[in-house]
Amino acid sequence: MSVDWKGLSHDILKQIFAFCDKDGLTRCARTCKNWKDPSLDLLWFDLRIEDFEHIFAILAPLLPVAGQPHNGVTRLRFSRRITHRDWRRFIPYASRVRHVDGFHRDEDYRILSETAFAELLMTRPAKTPLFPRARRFEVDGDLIPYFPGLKVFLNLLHEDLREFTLNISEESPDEIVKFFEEVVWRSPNITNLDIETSLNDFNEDMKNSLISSISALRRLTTVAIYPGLLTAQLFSALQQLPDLQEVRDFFSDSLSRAARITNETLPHTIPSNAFPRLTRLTLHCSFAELYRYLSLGKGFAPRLRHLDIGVVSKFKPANLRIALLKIAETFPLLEHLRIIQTDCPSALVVERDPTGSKESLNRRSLNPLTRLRSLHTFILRCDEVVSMANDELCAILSQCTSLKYLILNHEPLALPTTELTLDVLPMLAQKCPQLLQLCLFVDTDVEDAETVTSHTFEKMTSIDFGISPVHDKRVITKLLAQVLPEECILMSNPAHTSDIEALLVSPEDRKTREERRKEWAEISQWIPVLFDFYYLYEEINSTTTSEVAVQVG
Amino acid sequence: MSTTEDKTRKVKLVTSDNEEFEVDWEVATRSVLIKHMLEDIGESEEQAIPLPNVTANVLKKVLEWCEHHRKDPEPAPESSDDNRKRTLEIGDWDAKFIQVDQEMLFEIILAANYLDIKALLDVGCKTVANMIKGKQPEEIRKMFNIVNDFTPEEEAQIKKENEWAEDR
Repeated sequence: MSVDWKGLSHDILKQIFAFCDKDGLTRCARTCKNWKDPSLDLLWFDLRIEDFEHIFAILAPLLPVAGQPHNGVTRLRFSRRITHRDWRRFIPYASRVRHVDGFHRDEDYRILSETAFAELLMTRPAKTPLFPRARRFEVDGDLIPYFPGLKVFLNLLHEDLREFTLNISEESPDEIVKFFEEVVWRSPNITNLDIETSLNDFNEDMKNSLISSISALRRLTTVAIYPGLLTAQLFSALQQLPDLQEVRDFFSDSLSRAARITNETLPHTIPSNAFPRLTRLTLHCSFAELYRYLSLGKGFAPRLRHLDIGVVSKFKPANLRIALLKIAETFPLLEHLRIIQTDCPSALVVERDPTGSKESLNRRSLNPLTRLRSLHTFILRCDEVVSMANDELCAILSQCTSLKYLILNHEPLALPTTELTLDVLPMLAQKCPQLLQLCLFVDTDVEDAETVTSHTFEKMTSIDFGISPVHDKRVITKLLAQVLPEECILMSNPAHTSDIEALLVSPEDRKTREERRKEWAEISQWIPVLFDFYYLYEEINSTTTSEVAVQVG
Repeated sequence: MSTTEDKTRKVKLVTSDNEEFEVDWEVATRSVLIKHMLEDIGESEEQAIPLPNVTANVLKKVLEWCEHHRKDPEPAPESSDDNRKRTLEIGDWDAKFIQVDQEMLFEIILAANYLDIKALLDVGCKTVANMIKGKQPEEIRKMFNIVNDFTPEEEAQIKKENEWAEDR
C-alpha cells in the first residue's frame, strides 16, 4: 500500500486536524483540495461572537463606520454592495458553523453596525437561517453596546437547533424573556436547555413567560435551571414534558449554598405517570416539602437513577430518616443519591448553637439506606455530625452491597465529636470490600494494635477523613497502611468552598480545620514510606525462613 | 460469557497476507471492531477473525500497543460533535512506540481507524498534528509528498478568507 497522506478520508483527516490549533488549520486548508474541507469544518465549528466579523467579512470587506463611540466597540460597515456571488462564497462557510457562542467577554469588539446588518438581511438569497447547521447556541443577555444583538440572534434561530443556553442578565431581563418566547417559537426542537441568571427577583409576568416558554419545548430531554428560578409552577410545567430525562441544577456539581430559596419549589399535584423517562433529578426543597411531594402520587419517575437534593431546611436526624424512607419507597432503583444542606447562610448563622449541635445523625437516621439495593453512590453533607458505634455503621453498610462511593459528611461545619473511630476501617474492609471511595469523619484516638489485620480494601482508590482530629499520626499511618491498597490516595481537600467556610465558620475554627487538613496531608506522605518498609520487612522474613529451611535440609 | 473466562481465552486473527496471530482476548478486544466481531460469533473459539485491511507487519505493531495497554480502562464515550482544543501530549511509552517511519505511521493510523482503537488512533493523529505544527503549506506538502492542486488564485482566496485565524 502506498502512502497517500493527501488522499486520506475526511473522517481520518478530521481526527488529525482535531489536534491542530486554528493557525495550523488555516495552513492545512491551503495544502491541497482534499484537506480543505475537513480543516475548515473544524476551524469554523465553534463561532464566538468576537469572530462574527470574520465570517461576515467573507461577504465583503468590512470598514469602520465614521464617528465611533468611545467604549471599546468598533462598528463596521460593508465596503461595497453584497452580491449573489458573495453569498455563494459565504454559504459554505456559514454551513460549517455548528456552535454559536454569543457570550459577551470583556474585550474590544468589532461588530456589524445595525445598518450593515440590515443590508446583509436584505440581500440574503432565501429565507434560510444564517448558520443553517448550527445545533448549539449560547445567548448572553448581557448585550454588547451598540450591537443589535437580539436582532442578530433572532436570525440565527432555526428548527434544527438542539441545544440552547440563555443567560438572563440584570441589564434587560424583560427583553431577554421576550426573546426566549421567540426562540421557542422558531426553534421548537430544542432538546437541551440551560437557563442561568444572576437575578434574584423575577416579576410574575417574567416568571409566567418563562414557564410557558419552557413548557412549549415539548422535545426537551435535559434542562438545567438556576436554582433561584425553580418554582412549583415551573416544576409543574416540567412534569408535563414527555421526553424529559434530566432536570439539573445549573451548577450541577456544586449545589450552591448561595441560592436563596424561600418559596415552595415543588407542586401540589403530580399527574399520573409523571416523568416517564426521567433518570436524573435535582431538587431544592426542605425535607418536609420533599416528603409532601413524594407522597402525592405513585409511579413517579419510575426510571430515576440519580437524585440530588439541596436541602433548604434544618437538618434534623429524624427528618433525614423520614426523607430517606420516602426516597427508598419512591425510587427503589436509585443508584446515586446526594443530599446536601444548602439552606440560606444568614439563617444558619443565627440558628447555630455555638457549643456544637447536640443532635447527631445516628444509626436510625441512616438505616433506610439499606432499602436502596442498587445504591452505588451516597453523598451526605450537612452541619450535623454522623455519630454511631462502629459496628452500627458496619451493620448498615454490609447491607448496601452495591455501594462504591460513600461520602459521609466528612467535613461537618462545627468541630464536634463522633462515636465513630478509625478502628471502623478493618471492619468495613471486611463488610464492604467493594468500596472505591470513602470519606468519613472519625475519632482517631485508637489503640495502637500490634496485630496485623487480615482485611484490606482491595479496590479503594481514595479515602478522605476531612477535618477529623488527628490524635497520633504514627498510629494512624500504621493502621491506614494496613487496610488500604498501595494505589489508594489519602485526600484532604476541603469540601466547602473557602467563601462558604468564611461565612459559616469562626476564624479560630477555620484555623483548626486548616491545621487538621495539613496533618492529614502529612500522613498521606508517610504512608508510601511505610509501604516500602512493609515490603522490605516481608522480604527479610522470607529470606530468613528459606535460609532456615536450607540449614535444616 | 463471564469475565474470568475472557482472561484465559485466546483469539485468532488473520491478516490480509494470510498470517495468523493468536492473542489474549483482553489484548484483541482493545479493538472495538474485533470485540464486536467476537460478540457476533459468540463462543466458537476456533473461528479465526479475518482482517483484510491489515498486513502482518502492521498488525504486529498494533498488537504490541494493545499488549502494553491491555489493562487500560475503557475510554469514556465522546460526544458526537467532537471539539478541538485537545492536548497534544503523548505518554512516554506511546511516544517511543510511535517513533516509526512515515509509512508505518500512516499504516498505524489506517489500521487503528479500521480496527476502531480510539486511543491508538489518537496517538497517531497527535503525532501527525505535531509534525504539521508551525509549518507553512509548502513545508507540509514537502513533508508528506503532497502535490499542490490549487491554482495560485484559489490558494490566495482561501488564505484571505481564513487569515484571521493565523498568528493567534
